[in-house]
Parts: sequence; C-alpha cells; structure tokens
Amino acid sequence: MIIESFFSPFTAQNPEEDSMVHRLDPRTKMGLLLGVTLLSVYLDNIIFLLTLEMVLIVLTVISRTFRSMMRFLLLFFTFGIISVVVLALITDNLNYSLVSFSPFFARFGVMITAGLLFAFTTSPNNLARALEKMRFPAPLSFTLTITLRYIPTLAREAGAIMNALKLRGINLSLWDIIRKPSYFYRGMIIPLLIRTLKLSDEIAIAAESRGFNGGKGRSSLNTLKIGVNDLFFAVFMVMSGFILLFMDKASLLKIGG
Amino acid sequence: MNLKKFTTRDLTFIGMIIALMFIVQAVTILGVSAFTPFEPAKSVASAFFVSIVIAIGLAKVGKIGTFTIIGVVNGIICGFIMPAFLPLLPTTVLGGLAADAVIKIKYGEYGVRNSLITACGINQLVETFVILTVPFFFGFSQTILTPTLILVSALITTTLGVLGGFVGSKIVQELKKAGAIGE
Amino acid sequence: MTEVTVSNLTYRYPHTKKPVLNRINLQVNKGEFVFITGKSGCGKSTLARTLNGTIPHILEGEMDGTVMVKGKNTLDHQVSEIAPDLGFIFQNPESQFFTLRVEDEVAFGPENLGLNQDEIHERVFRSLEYVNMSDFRKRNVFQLSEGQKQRVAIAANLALNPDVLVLDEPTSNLDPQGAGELFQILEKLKNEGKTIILIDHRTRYARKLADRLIIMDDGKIIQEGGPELLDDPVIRENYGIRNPNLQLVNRSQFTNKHSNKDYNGRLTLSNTSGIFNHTKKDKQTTCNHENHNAVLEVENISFSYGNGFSINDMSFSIFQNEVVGIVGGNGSGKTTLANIMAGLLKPSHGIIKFCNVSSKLPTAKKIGMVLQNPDHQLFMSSVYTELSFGLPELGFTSSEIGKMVNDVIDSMNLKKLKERHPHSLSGGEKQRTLISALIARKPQVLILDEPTTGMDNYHMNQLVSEVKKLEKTGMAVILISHDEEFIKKSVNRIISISKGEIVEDKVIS
Repeated sequence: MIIESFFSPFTAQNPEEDSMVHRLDPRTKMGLLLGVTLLSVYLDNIIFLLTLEMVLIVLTVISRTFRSMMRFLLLFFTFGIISVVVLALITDNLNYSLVSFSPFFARFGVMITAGLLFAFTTSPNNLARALEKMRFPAPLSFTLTITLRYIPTLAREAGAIMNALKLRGINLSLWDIIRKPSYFYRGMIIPLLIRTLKLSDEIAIAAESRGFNGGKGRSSLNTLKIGVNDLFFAVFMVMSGFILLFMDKASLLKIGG
Repeated sequence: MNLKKFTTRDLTFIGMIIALMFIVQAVTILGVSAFTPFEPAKSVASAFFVSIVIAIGLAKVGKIGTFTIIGVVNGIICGFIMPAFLPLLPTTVLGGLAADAVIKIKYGEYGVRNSLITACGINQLVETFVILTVPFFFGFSQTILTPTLILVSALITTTLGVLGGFVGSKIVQELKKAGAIGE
Repeated sequence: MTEVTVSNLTYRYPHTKKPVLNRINLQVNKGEFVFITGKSGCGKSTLARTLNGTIPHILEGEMDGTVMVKGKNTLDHQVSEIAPDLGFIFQNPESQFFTLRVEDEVAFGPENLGLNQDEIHERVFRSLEYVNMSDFRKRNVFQLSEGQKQRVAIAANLALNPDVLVLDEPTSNLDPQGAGELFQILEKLKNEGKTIILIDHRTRYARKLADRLIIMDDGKIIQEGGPELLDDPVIRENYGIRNPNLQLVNRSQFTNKHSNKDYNGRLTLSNTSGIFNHTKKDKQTTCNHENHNAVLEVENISFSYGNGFSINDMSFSIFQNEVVGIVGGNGSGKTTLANIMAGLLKPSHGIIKFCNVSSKLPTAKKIGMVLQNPDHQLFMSSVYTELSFGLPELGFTSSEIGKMVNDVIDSMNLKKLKERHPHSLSGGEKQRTLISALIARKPQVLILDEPTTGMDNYHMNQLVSEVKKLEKTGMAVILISHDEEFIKKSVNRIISISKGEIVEDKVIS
C-alpha cells in the first residue's frame, strides 16, 4: 500500500474524498501551480518564501491531503538536512552552508508542495479532460491516463516479483544489486517487462472492446466548467501573490536603503 | 506528426513504458539525492536506466513519433508532480523530437539495434544541453555551469544513453525469444 | 434470428505453424446461452477473441473465414464499432479498469460512444443498479472485492447496451460466493433475452444455465449438444472437462457455524486432537527433539494491514507427509497466512517454527512457495538455468547444484523442456517448472497459492498426482485454494479460514 501511494500521488487519492480544492477545475489548479512556481523564483526573502509555503500547507490541510503528503515532504526535508550537513562538513562552515542552501531549499519546498497538492487533488481522468479542453490531442491524453493509472499497478507487480525472488533466496538489496547486477537484470527487469507487455495488450483490448477508438468524439459524464468557486479562488490567490511579491521587494529596498 | 497511425495498442504500451520510466526515475533520483546534492548527478544516473526502458518502447512500437509522445507525456507528469522540474517539459519534448527526426531521416523507423542506440544517444545529448542551459535563461537557476562542464556532462549522458540503448536492444532480443515481442 | 455467425474460421498466431482455430463453424441465435469449454490450449479463448474483432484488428496473425456479429463482418469493422453490439468480459477485472471511481468506469463506454450527459447518467445508473452495485457509485475500484470488481466490469459492458455478451473465464479469480453472484446476474440477463456466450473451464453453474454446450479440442469443435453432455464421465475424461456435479468438500467452510473454537475463540491442536488421533498417533502441540514429525508450527500469529483486515491469533502445526488444504473465501486471509509462513510478511505477534531443521538456515531453504502468477516467478532464459537460479545464494556448491537439477529434471519429467525459454511455456508447464525449481532444494514445506487458476481437468489431475508424489517423499504440502474439486482430490487435512480466523481444522481419510 505504501509503495503504491508513494509511486503515484495521482492514484493514491481516495475518490470518495472531496473538498473545495478537489472540486476546483484542474485548469485553475494548473494556474496556481504555474503562479506559485514563478512567484517562488522571484521571491528573494526567505520569510516570504516560508509564508508562501504556509499558504500551501493550509490548502493541503483544507483538502485533507496533508497526511499523505507528509511522507514526501519529510523525505525532501531529510535530503535538505543531509545536503546542508555535507556542505558544512566540506567547507567547515555551517553558517555558509545554511545561508547558501536555505533559499534554494525553501524555493524547492514550495514547488514540491504545490505539485503534490495538484497531484493529490486531481484524478487522472480529470487531468486528461482538462488537457483535452486545452486542445491537447486525445491520443496523448489517453496515453497520459494510462501512465498515471498504471504506475501503482506496475509498482505492485514489481513487489510481487521481489517476493518471488525472496522465495528463491535472493533479497534484492542495494548491496546485492551492486555485487551481482545480473540478479537485478534477470530477477527484476526481464519479468517486469514481460508483465508490462502482457498487461498493455490486455488494456488495449479492454479499451477497444468498450468502444474506445482513439478518443474521437468522446463525450463525458461530468463536464469541467470554470465556476464561481474557481474565480474566487483565482482572485484570492493572485492578490495574495502580489501582496507577497510587493512586501518582498519592499523589504529588499529597506535593507538596501 | 501523424497521431492517427498510432493504434490503441501502441498508445497503451507507450503509456506503460512511461509508467516504468517514472518508477525508474523516481528510484534513481531518490537514490542519488540521498548521496549527493549535486544536481547534474541525477540526470546522469537516470540517463542509463531510462534509456533501457525507452529503447524497448521504441523497438516494440517502431513508429516515428513514439519518442516525442514519450517526451511530452513524461514531461507533463514530471512537471506537474514536481514543478521544480517544469523545465524538464521542453527538455524531454525537444529530446524526443530530435531523436525522432534523426531516425526518420537515417533509418525510416525504429527497429534495428543501431536505430535504438542512436535515438537514445541523441535524446540524452539534447536533453542535457537543454536542461543545463534553459533553466538559467528563465531564472529558475542562478548559476550556470562553465561550457566545458556542460560539454562533459552532455558527453557522459550521451554515452550512458548509448549504453542504455544497447542494453535495451539486448533485452528486446531476449523478449523475442520468450515470445513476448513479435519478431 | 442469428446474432453471431462464425464460418470456416481458421486462425494462426504469428510465427506458429499449427492453427489455433481450425475451420470453426458456429451459429448463435438470439437469446441463446452458449457454453464453450475444453482443455487449456484448445482454442476457446482465441475463438472468443475473434468474436469482437480483437483478432484480426489488435492481435496479428493469419485469419481465414468470417465472423459476423449482428450483420457486421468483423473484418470490415473495428473492435470499437462492434462494442455496442457485443460486450466482452475478461478473466482479470483489474486490467479492464481505466479510472479510479466505479461511476467513471461504467461511464467510460458511453463516453466513447459520444452520448450526451443525461443519457450517460441514465445508463450508468441503470447498469449499476442491474448488478446491484448502486451503493458503490463513488467508491474506489481498487477497494472492491474481486467479485464486486467483476460485477462492475459487467455493468461497464451493459452501459453500452449490447445484445450479445461474451465472457472469457469470468470466474477464475472468484471464490464460490462471488461466482454464485455473477451467475445470478447472468441468469437475469438470459431471462431478459440477452444472448450469452460463456467460455470457461468451470462447469458447475454453466450446467444449469446453458442452452447449448460446445466442446473444443485442438482448435476444432468436436461435440455440440445440450448441457447434459457434461454429466457423461466418458466425455469429460476424453476432453479434460471438469465435473459440474461436484459434492462439496464441506459447505461449512465458508460459514462460521460449525467452528471448533475454544473459550477464547482460538483453535488449537489440543481440541482437534480427537480427530488427529485417527490418523496420526502421538502428535503433540509442542515440538520437541523426540518428535520430528511436526515440520512447521504456527504459534499465535496475528497480523494486520491497517485497513481493517487482520489475522487474529492463529495456531496450528503441519506434519510430515501431510497435504493440507487451506480454504476460505476471497479476503479470508489465506494468502496473507501463506505469506507469513513463507517469511514474506512479518507477523505482528507470534512465531513460526521449523522444527526439525536448524533455525539458522535461511527461510528459502526450509520452505518453498509458488505464488499465483507464474510470470512473476520465472527469471532465466532456459528451464535448465531456471532450476538452478538462486541456489548458489543458499550455499550449495556447483556440483551439488548440478546433481539437484538433474534429479529434479528426471523426477518431474522436464527433459523435453530443458532448453525452452520459461516464458514461452504453457501455463501448466510454467507451473511444473516452478514447483521443480523449489523442490530441487528439498524444502520441508511446499506451499502452492491458488495453483489451479484457469486449469482444466487434465492439468488439475496432473497436479494432483504431482502433489501425491511429493507427499511420498515426506514433504509437507500446503495448498491454498478455493477450487473445491482440487482440494477434495488432493488433501488429507483441511483448515478453513474465515475473516482471519480458523473456523475448522479436520483430517480427511
């Protein structure tokens, strides 16, 4: 279960889960994603980067995805600490290491949180529909849906293969792989590819026998519409963004002046 | 590019191949991140493994345009889950397009071993150049490597891509023997 | 009126010489329930795939002859064009799902037809109600049971409103309860005048429902007639067909009624020793050095996945020469228990003991387990190397390995397959290779998890005799299965599990 949710935030979500963020049009969320990414690049003061991060965390709490996201953020946080420590050890200067890495990691953290928020609150189906509305070709959005839908399935297949290896007395640890790469090749790559080939044929047959013909003239059960909520949300976020940017530049001027 | 020539079966297989790439990228990038904070190390590490997977996808589907589809979809997924990798979107698309273009001119379609190796090599070359320069021009990154370092990185990833393509073509041979891929 | 007409159909997979289908002629009339059966590899699934145009449009090969579905020639119409007339349900529901939510899944077909929103809503509602899954509309498809998944798959096809339904081994992954529910739906569909073509090796339900039986062998239709043909043991024997009139091993195995529990709800050997004493003398619940018979002891095992499913405080021992069937419905905890015994999962409480082998040996040397899907378990490029895979890791020398492998090739009759690529073998051969690879190292216990999925009568009997052979060598064999016929034929003890607890443990003479 853990490995699955780890490998695909898009499918780890529970479709019964519903929140204001889930109900937003994916295009609104794409806008948020782009906006936040750009903002994080132009914010220089770490205080405001952290404020932006807090706003995003509040959104994850509202969408009740905070718990599932923690795993990823913790992982990221750990890497951050490792990097700071490594640099501090190399340069023998903790302060230098902190100063040079902090804004970098704050920026990175903001982008990752925004991305995960998007992924955890958007189903592959809705993402594909939103892309189609933006004139993305149907065959490509179908491919995208298949990818997102089957990442956890393949992760589970890999898990089953790993179990079969254990039963033969081989634990595929990092050390085993380095010591005998052939175990990884024979024991994982070959069976996983054979499963991939078989599954993809089955999926193709299943898709066509349910009327799929390359996505021409598809209609949909629920149409995506940019609603009042989306507008309110967008206006609120754009305003907050500008305030943050303004305060950031103002604080720079103060220091400079 | 003519998308109509891609059958549902082609599309599902490309979709599954990208899913595999995602897993491979996640594992190698996480693995590398645990050891070093040095960014280019990640693309170097994943270049080899990702190329193996791509080569198999190319060999099975065979059609020109496969690499571009892989680039677009993979770029979107990486970009949305980790917007820090948004610059990857043009990277993977351009890499795929370049490979498709060269193979179209030189071989007509994917199939023989050299076509797979060439495609993987070109993709890695273009990707590395783009990823090491584009983010800088758009303000995503404050520093840029020296031209020599960019060249060296590109050479390393291209070599790894070529190696990956080679291993991939070997795996295709075995999959044919197993009856999993038609001759 | 004829709905489906197959005339003079011959088909050959790419790069094979022998046709899988050899001049098949078949007519299916409106409202008919046709049951097609035959042994593995007889061509029945291939025939199914020609009915909706999968062959020749998606799978390559050489096809001669014609297939007409409601007046459409499959050669001239794509699979997606035939879909509204003919629905297709597969063995494995999971690979038919494209979305996460039940409702979206059922809507996938009508969306492809480009219907308007109201019509799609209406169809989704009606189809889910038909299969009794309305309450699950907003649920995640991954969280459904196997039986529920298969019902959603049927609803997804019904939403396209086809007149003909083709089902290819739809009950392979289902327990008897799930299969029963599925056939109730089929009965309802039949009564409403839908045409149904069922391809399966399980015969019990089809015997009651089918109007016509078709038996295939070697790519040809060799018998046609009423379903009562299934009652003829000679025909069954000749064409490797399962017995439809099976006396159940024990009905109570899927209920909680006749459980043998002690005061705290736990079943221990001490309170079943009465039964045991008939066949096995001086068995004790504890294993000491004087008693070398108990090979595996499970003591107070508990385990939980954290999603509500758990195994609670199980205890039992397995003895030498025993063939134990562990039975129970889907989700009863059989496979979890097997994974714990084989060391793949760590129990949260309790221990597993291997009595007459040193505890220092790696688990892989003491216990062998064959998982459900052979594709996950074959690694090498020839059967010969497959048999020796992993042995060096267990500390065997190369001369020992050579002898072990050659012994097992002789005893399991693998000489002809020695040089073949394991993935190119048939299902039954793959399984034989796997069992051989595990028994080569002479484990104390061998576990087979659902070994008869999709297996015809012939191969099942072959497996039964292989199990009997292993029993004679002193190995304890544990069979996890909901295949009642197979269990009945092979075991001498049955442990029934329900909701993570042992409800019955008895010896069969």
